[in-house]
Amino acid sequence: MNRERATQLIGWVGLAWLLFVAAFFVFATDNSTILSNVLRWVGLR
Amino acid sequence: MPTILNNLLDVLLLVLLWLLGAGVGRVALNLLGISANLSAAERLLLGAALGLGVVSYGVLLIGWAGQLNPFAIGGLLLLLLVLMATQLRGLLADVGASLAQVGRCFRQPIPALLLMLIIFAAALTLISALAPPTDWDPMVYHLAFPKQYIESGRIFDVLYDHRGEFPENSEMLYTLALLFGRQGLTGLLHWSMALASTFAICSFSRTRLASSRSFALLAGAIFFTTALVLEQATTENVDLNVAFYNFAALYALFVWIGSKLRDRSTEMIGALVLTGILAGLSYGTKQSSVVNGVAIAVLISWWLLIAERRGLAATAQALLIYGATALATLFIWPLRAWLASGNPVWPAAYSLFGGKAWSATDANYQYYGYNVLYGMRYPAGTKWDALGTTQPQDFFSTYLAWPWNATMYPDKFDAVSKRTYYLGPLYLALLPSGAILGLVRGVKARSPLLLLSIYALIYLLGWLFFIHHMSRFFLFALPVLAILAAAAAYLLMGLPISEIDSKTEKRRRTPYAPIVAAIIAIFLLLGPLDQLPVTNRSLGVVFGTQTQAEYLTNGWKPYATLAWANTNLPASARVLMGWGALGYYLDRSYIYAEHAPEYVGRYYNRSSDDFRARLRELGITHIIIAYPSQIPIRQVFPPDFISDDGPYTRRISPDALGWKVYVLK
Repeated sequence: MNRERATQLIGWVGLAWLLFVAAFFVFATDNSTILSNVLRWVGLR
Repeated sequence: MPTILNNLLDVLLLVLLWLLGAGVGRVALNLLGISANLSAAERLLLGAALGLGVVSYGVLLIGWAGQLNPFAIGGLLLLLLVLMATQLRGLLADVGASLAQVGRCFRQPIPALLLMLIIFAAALTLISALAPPTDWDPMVYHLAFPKQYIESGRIFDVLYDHRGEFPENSEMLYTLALLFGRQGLTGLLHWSMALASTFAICSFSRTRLASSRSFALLAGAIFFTTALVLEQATTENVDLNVAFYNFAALYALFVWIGSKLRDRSTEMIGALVLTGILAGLSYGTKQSSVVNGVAIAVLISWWLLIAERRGLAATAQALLIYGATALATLFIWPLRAWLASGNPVWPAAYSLFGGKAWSATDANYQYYGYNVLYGMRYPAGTKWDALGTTQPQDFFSTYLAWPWNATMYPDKFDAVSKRTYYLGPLYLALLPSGAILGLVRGVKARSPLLLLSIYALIYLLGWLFFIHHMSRFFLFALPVLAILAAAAAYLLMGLPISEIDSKTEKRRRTPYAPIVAAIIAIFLLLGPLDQLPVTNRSLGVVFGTQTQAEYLTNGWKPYATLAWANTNLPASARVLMGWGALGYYLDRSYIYAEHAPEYVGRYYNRSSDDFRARLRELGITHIIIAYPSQIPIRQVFPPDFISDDGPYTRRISPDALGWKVYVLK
């Protein structure tokens, strides 16, 4: 696998990791008051 | 004077103090022969870091000489003002050039938005920083000691609190502010360190990484909008000072690296000396900055041995210059501790150095005890006094899974559970993929981002194995982590970090770059938005619709007890403050017995009669206790010594007050 392909692949995995961390932070923890309130308003919590 | 004008005066004094620092520091930069190698912003930032250090040491020396009064300190300021005046033209030109740089950020949409976000965060925290102090540490020592120094007209040794011989560069600035009755200035000084760090991050990115404005401001915004930074910017702690000084020292190292190491030129030695001085000043702010000192020494060795292949002799010479200047700058603090206690880092390293008013038991309770309170080393809910009976957690949860835990469960990383005490998800979400992408692209030994990564890695290892696992202590490397997070974001989005790269190397933007940018934008906004309720609570007292007493009575319940004591205790009273009773707002002579029971006399070594005799020897007439039920934990008082009307004490405070005031019989 050449460097460009590897970079692309890692980029996609990196995006998945970013989305996973962000989603876990938003939906599985209670670390932000404002976020909790917003989620409550839109019915997601 | 109306409250709002009074607060504006504090802001003005803050600006003057930074200008004074920058002016004095400029003289030093000229002497070191490196002024010409620095940008205008760098001269201001690194100069101010130096100059404020000079102010701190000036206050310390005058305080040691027993002349802590407005005339002597005013004389010092006057002297430094004259020094500043010799630099005025250049100083103002640098301020103008730096402001123009900031102004140019408004010409493009993304830098303008990021800059406005930073200004928004700074404005929110500025308001709360002006509110009266209510954080634990300032009321125990960062402000409590300066207030006591001022009352006694000199800087004395404090052996009744385990923090009493810590280095106090920041506290010297707080002493200066309180000496002239400027309590608001103390909060502003700590707040300004967040702003200065942000400014330094942006300046570093632009000058030393040759980055675009967008990158520089993204790194700055990641730093300032971290809830940890916002939260600390509203307190009178010293952690942001450490963040600033650590980063300033690292910055100076990059100036040295940038000087291309012309053999034995003044330029090279000057920048290395500057690095050493700033690392020394960082230690003078907090002892844990020894990790910063070591990390920089490793980078010097890396640069000379691996990147430049200059050999051992050149490396040893550079390390000697760096180490000697750092030690020459910081030695005054260990000397003070050693003279007072016989231990240069009192009360740390007790098994090595020993020290007065401390014991192995204290060392166990106060220092190893923190291991229980903070981090993942012990199961949740483990109590301080369960040490030795509770099994530590496994290696994985303590040392490997902490990046996840510190991000997701920040309450485990601070004794006081605060929602705002969090790192936010951006560091965890960006740094791992950034590191892997960086490695795959190929790492050069001379790459500035690699040097920053080595620094961050050493700091995180230091945090894991040397510093208590508190989220607050991440701050010390957070400017570097913010730059690395911004770099990771750029790599993930396929954007060039360095503007030089963008000309020589064509980088393709990744198809998902807008998603990355959107997620980053959401979390950049979150910190300041969560800060809104905190700012809202401070509005009344800052804009004058509420008095300090009203603000404190509403927001910090124990204040009522201290206000009662200030009215009802005789002026000659000397108070023993028991566990948790913080003394900053008590206008009576006192000692704080929480952390050095050995100083007062541990109960199991003494009978109650002996203990009372010791209190009388110390001149104690009254006792204030915050949490009587927790007394056995701290082992300060003999059992049954404290009672509402017993053989040794009688409670005199009304039932309604949270903290209890006793008179010693």
